[in-house]
Amino acid sequence: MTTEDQTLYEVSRKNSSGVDQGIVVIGIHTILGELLLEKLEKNPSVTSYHAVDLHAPGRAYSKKFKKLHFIKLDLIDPGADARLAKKLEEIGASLVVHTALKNNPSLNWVQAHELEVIGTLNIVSACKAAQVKKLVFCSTTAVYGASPKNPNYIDETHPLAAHPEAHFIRDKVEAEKQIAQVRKEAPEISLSVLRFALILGPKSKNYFTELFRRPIVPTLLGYDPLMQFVHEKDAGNALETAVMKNHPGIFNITGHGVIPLSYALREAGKFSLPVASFLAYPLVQVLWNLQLVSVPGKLLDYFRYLWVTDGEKAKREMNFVPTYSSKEAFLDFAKSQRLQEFQ
Amino acid sequence: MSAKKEIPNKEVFSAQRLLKQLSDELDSYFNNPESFDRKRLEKMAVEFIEELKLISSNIPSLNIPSLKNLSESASPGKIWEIIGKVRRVLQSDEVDEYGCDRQFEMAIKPFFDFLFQKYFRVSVQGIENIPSTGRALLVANHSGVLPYDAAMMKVAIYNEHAQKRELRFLVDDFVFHFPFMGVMMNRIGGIRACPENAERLLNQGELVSVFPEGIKGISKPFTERYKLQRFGRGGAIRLALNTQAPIVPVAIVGAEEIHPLLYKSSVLARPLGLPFIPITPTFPFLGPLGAIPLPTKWTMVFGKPIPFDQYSEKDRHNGILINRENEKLREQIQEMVFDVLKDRKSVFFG
Repeated sequence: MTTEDQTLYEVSRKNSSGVDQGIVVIGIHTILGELLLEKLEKNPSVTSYHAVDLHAPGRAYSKKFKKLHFIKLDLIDPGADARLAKKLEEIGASLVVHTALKNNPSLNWVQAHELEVIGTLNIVSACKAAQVKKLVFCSTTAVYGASPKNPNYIDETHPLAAHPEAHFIRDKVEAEKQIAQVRKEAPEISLSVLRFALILGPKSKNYFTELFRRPIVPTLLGYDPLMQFVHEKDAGNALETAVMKNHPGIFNITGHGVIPLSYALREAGKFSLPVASFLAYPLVQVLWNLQLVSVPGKLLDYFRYLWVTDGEKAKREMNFVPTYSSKEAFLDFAKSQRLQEFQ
Repeated sequence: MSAKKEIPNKEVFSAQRLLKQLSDELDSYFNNPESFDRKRLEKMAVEFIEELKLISSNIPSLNIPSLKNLSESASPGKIWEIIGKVRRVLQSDEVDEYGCDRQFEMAIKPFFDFLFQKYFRVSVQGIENIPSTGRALLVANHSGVLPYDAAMMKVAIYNEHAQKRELRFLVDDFVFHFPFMGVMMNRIGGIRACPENAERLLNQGELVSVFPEGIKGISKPFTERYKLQRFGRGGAIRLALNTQAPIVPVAIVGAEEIHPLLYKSSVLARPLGLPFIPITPTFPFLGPLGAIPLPTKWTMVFGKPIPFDQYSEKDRHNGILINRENEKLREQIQEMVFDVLKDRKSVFFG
């Protein structure tokens, strides 16, 4: 049970005296990965945990996370699955948390596809080979797709968007399918899938928060979808609950209530610039190709139609009660944005 | 803004004072809408505008008191503030979980009240058949090209029912494809029509209205008026079985004649994403004027609730039972419609 040469910033394990629960977090540079590391660091019952990522955590990180053992591994390398399986066995991992899905759409969609789909496939094979007891997968509610045909509150049984044109969503849906295979092929693994709504808070940075950087925010003329958010703190709590306790199944993690996009913009003190949708789609696609906006044109559906999900199941089974409503989460995010302007 | 220095301070001060008062008044409205004195607010607003005119007339280069001058004489920030506050009278900061903004709904309600009381002169019968609390599914006949019947039903229940109950109405999918229409429907409480939504609403103890005839109902030609179309595939009965909600049958008479449909074109409608384009005696020949409904006299009858809690779990998937109940319901509403029609002497005067 060593972490050998790849462990760049290892803190001596001699200090830690408790039992190693064998928690492995894959993907620590995503918001959820960060949130989980913080939670694990604070949790007294966890004495040490491992993290797998391509990029080593920075200096500040290694000081902050004293219980962290870092394993450098590229998930999309050929043979990454065998290597990961070996590592998991060495560590004696019993619980793997997969948070390595991209927060944001990427122009390099080939690489993103490799990471999300092939990376997930590798993780799944490694978990099966290493006989991990539990797998927690962090997904997003965007996999349901935005459509005028969605019910107001989408529950976990709703089919995932079958043919979304955006790579960002398609990869995530495919990753979900890989994970769903685990349930069939390896029922002995306890599998929790958490689908998070847009995560907002002082720290979060994603395609949605990018919108709010400028004082004038373009919107789609005549469309004002109901948006749903979950606050970072709540997202962290939900993830910690899923990791520390056993809640197999799929859960939507979201704050209660909704806020229309235009109301949110007003609360944040932004001016909206409505653009006719038939112009907006090609225009945004061009701007996306030039990397001037944070979403590709195909993703504009998410600012046009409904994709609000039902968080009742998480409340019922996981006892997850969000402390921030969608609106409060948004306000907290807007507040931190304003503060940043003065810093 | 360069002219600002030449403005006598006295007027500026008094304008500032008035603005402050105005904003306090509006604040008090948000804190306590019941004790809000509209006359006083109007008076203050007029005073403030007069003051602004005075200020602008003191600026030599700007003697015409127009809106442009007003905005130039007062600081732009303050003007934005006022615009923001006016908007806040129309919109609140929050919507309910389905996207309905009560403040917006109430702001446009006078228009629907006018339609209900003065224009269609709706006479309502059997309003006591709607339960005072708890879930109920209202099933009605659908007619009249544009769904005024759904709107009038909502107004009827809010205005006439002792409990002032809120009716949740379900809106067909295609509406949400369109700009503005979908948003507007959503803000006044319309929810996309699908079994999941209806079931969720009923389980929350809401009143939900459905029109099982759907588009077939509102698009039937004038010659077939008051002949109820097929009631879908029994979705309403399924809902009632699943949620154990009683069904209140509703007959609406008068809505058929607001837009007598002579012909409908589906071919032209398809590229627009509409279910059909109506040809009526007034539309499209009179252009937008043709979209004004004829002022017929309406009668709305709420029947006795039909209980659905005697069925067991197994019956929920009993297709034969669902079909039978569905047909029974259709016949009952058809009879209610005929009963009203029998006594009706005139389309426009009842």
